[in-house]
Amino acid sequence: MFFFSLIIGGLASGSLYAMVGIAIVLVLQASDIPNFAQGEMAMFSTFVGYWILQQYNVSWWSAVLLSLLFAAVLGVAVQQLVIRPLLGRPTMNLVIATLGLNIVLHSLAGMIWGNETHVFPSPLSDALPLNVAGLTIPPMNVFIILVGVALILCLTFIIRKTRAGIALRAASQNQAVARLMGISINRAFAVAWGLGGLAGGIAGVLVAPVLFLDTNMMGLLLIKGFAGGVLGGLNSLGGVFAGGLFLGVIENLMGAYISGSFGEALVFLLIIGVLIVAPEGVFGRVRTRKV
Amino acid sequence: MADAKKHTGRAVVVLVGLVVLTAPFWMSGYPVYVLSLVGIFGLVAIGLNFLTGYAGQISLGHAGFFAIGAYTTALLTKKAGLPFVLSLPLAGVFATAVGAVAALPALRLKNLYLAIATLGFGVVVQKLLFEWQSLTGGGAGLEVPAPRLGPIVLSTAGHMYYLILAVVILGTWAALNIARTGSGRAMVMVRESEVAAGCLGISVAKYKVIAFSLSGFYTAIAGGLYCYLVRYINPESFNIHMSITFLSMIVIGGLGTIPGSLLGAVFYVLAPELFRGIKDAPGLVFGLSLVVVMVLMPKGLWGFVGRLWRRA
Amino acid sequence: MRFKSGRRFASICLTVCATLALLTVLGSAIAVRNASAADTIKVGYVGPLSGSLSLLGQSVRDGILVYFAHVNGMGGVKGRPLELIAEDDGYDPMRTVAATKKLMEHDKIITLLSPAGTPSTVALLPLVNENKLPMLFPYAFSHALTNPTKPYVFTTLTEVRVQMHVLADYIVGTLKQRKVAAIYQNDDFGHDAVTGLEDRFDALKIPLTKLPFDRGTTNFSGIVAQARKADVEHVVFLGIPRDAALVMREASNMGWRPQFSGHNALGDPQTFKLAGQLAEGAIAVAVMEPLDSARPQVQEFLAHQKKYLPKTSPTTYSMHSYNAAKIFVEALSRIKGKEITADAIVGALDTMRNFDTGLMGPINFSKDQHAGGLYNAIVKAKDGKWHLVTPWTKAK
Repeated sequence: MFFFSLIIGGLASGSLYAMVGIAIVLVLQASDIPNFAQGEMAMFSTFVGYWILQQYNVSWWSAVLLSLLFAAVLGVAVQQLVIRPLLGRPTMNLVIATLGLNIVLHSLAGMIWGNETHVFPSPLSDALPLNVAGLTIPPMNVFIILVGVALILCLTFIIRKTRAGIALRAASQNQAVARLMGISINRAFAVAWGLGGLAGGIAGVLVAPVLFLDTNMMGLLLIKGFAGGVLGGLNSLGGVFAGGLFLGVIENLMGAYISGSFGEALVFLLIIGVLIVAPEGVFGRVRTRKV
Repeated sequence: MADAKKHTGRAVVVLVGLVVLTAPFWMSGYPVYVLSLVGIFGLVAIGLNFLTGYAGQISLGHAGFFAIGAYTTALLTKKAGLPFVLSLPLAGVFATAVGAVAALPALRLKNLYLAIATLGFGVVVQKLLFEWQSLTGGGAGLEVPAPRLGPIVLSTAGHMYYLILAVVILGTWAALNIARTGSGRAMVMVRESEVAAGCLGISVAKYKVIAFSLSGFYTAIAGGLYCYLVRYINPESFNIHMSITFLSMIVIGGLGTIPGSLLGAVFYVLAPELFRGIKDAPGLVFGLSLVVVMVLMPKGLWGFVGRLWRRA
Repeated sequence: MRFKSGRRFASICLTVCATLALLTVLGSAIAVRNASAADTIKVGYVGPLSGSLSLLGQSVRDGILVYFAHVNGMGGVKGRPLELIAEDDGYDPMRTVAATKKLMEHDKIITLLSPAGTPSTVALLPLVNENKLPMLFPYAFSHALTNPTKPYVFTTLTEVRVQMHVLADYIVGTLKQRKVAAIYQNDDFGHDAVTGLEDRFDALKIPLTKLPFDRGTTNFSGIVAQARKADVEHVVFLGIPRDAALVMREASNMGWRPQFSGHNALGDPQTFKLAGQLAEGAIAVAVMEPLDSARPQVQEFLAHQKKYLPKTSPTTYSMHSYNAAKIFVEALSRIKGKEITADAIVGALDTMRNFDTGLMGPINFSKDQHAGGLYNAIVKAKDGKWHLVTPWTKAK
């Protein structure tokens, strides 16, 4: 009973890591750039949604849709203004640029909306916890997992079957050849970052009702998203998602059965252990590259 | 015209040299303290540059080495009463050993996987220092006595400044020499192409371990100097943010270059001081400066200086 | 790196040092330009203005700003305006030390008022002692601040260990509960608090379930599950209200409703804002009047914050520092003569007896006793407000 409640709780927490992970990996797979500003971008667009909800008399869904629209636009804007000028530069430069952007967005959000914590409503706010076989399951987190799976399916479909998606894959695999085939690298990356921004925005509006909305909401989640992604394998959206869920569960198990105060450190040691055996994550496929 | 350029260059250099060598005599305590911090972070940057700039291995856990250096030095001084000429190198050697061991799991990892693994290293070190209360004082922190050598006690800001300056000069000279040797070039080869390096008979694993150990050594010595400068250390400070700061420093300064390391340290310590006056938005301006530097200066500050110099 | 000789190496070094020195001089110049009129009484503040505890850091700063604005509006102290110079330390004790050095040397502050952060203020103890800088009424809970008494350090906030003594006595004595868990921040503050609880529980042979969490974590499900498994009836929460609300939610999600309690930070309107109904019935230790108190000085504080910093909300943090500023100004006004020095301030405080700010129990300082907040009470959450349920009593 106790064991299962740890698992359920772990999956619930992990669902947040998983959602953030999707946004990160989408952009990573498409443009080979880890976006360290992803968390703050999501936080920023969620605040926009919250502000719209507070200021104007619109329904929750309208506010959220507008916030997601903002998130997608923000993603494209970041790609055009910061990433595009840096194309072709070493990855480290891009990483530092996104880190700088992280700081900028965090400060900006604090300046515009202040440092207080707010309650972010959701249609499931008043929903009662589900009761399954004596275990209580929080409905919001179930919803998050469902949205996550749906998102992965949608994105996979877009990437595999639509023209824009195929263009994206071509652009990420070999820019030179893609150009020769008439694919606009710029357009492909813009789409990727727009989708990544959107995924991040979705993560934001799902995380906020669970963790409360404030400027620090996504801070640790970004790292957990990366950690979960690394654990699961950064090659596939499914792997990242599973990794995030798994991370939440391990946190709980290690904290309860081994050591409460050492929990976080032990989790990292476990990740390192996994990586020694599987250097590209549990579900990662070792990529072979032509030399 | 080349002559004029050379003479101007020499004049600037001499002037600056004078400024740096005499600083404590005419600058007040706080600027001297700031310059001391620049020196310390410069050492960290040089060390990290060996790992990330030369060998191409990313590390998000170097605060761990910094902490190991700080705590080892502090404890050797406090509990064993060692003079700084012993405590600092011993701390460095200990960190080198830790670095060599820590490198082993990292041998097969790349990019983000390596980043997260090194992040884990940093977290584990910080946690260990916090939990091992009987040794480190845990969350209450540790007060560090002033460094001494026999009867000489380095108790003022000026004393520490000169110690740090001496170590920085020594460290930079050593780094330049290492870079020129076979080891330095081997590390660069590892970064450029592990496969090619292997084909050339370069043991990739060996040089990765060397890179980790060397960077650990430099960073730990810097950590030891740090504990002597601030005289109180707390596990709270040696966190992920510090590691990220270290990494950003070398990229901003100029990845893979030793002057770049020093410039990066200058930027990181001085920029917040410059931005302090900006009401309510020092963070914002700092973040913007990171983005701007990356966009405008692909090879970092040192690359930019180089470009300006060539154009002059 | 293609460096041919030592000379080239030297030039590199020196070029870099050039830039460095130039920037330092520039920086100092800018700082000097920012320096203000010689007439003002310069007071320093350092706290986490950025990072996960930014609400704490900014709110404590705001309380001082509000009171200073009020006093300056009435002509200042001895005809001189009060000026607050606030620095950010991001809750990093190292930065706290650096920022304080700068405040002392560059800004020439006469006092460090209400610095925020437990490890940060402990880090400052050697520095303020060495430099004879009064560090007054920090928003910090550490035992080390007043044990032993430090000549230049005064507190009004009851240290968390003592707060926990009061709470433990109430839990065992009044609530008659003996199955208790502590969910606490795994840092210096949390450990100190648990020590306080154990002081009382160990003596009574009551076991305490200890469940630490890392500050900033988002996953409380594991520890709440552990608390439930241990079959506790009472959970003492030691952390910020936001995390308290998350814990209450986790418990509620599991269909479990233990009695919740916390230190003085829990007794804040924020707890209701975030936890809503789930906070009903929770108790907290009070060091100051609850924000909903009817006492006129509390109302005055709320009105002043609304007037001078309308964009911010009053919190227990800003009330603490407002109170701190009030006592500080009182000390200043007690100084005979025009000159305001550190020793004069300390002298005025050392002789302060039964000074009532109206926001908490009477303040008493003496040469050997610098912990002024000796009166505590218990407040209980009812109908969205915190109400006193015990009288103000002197802690043992």
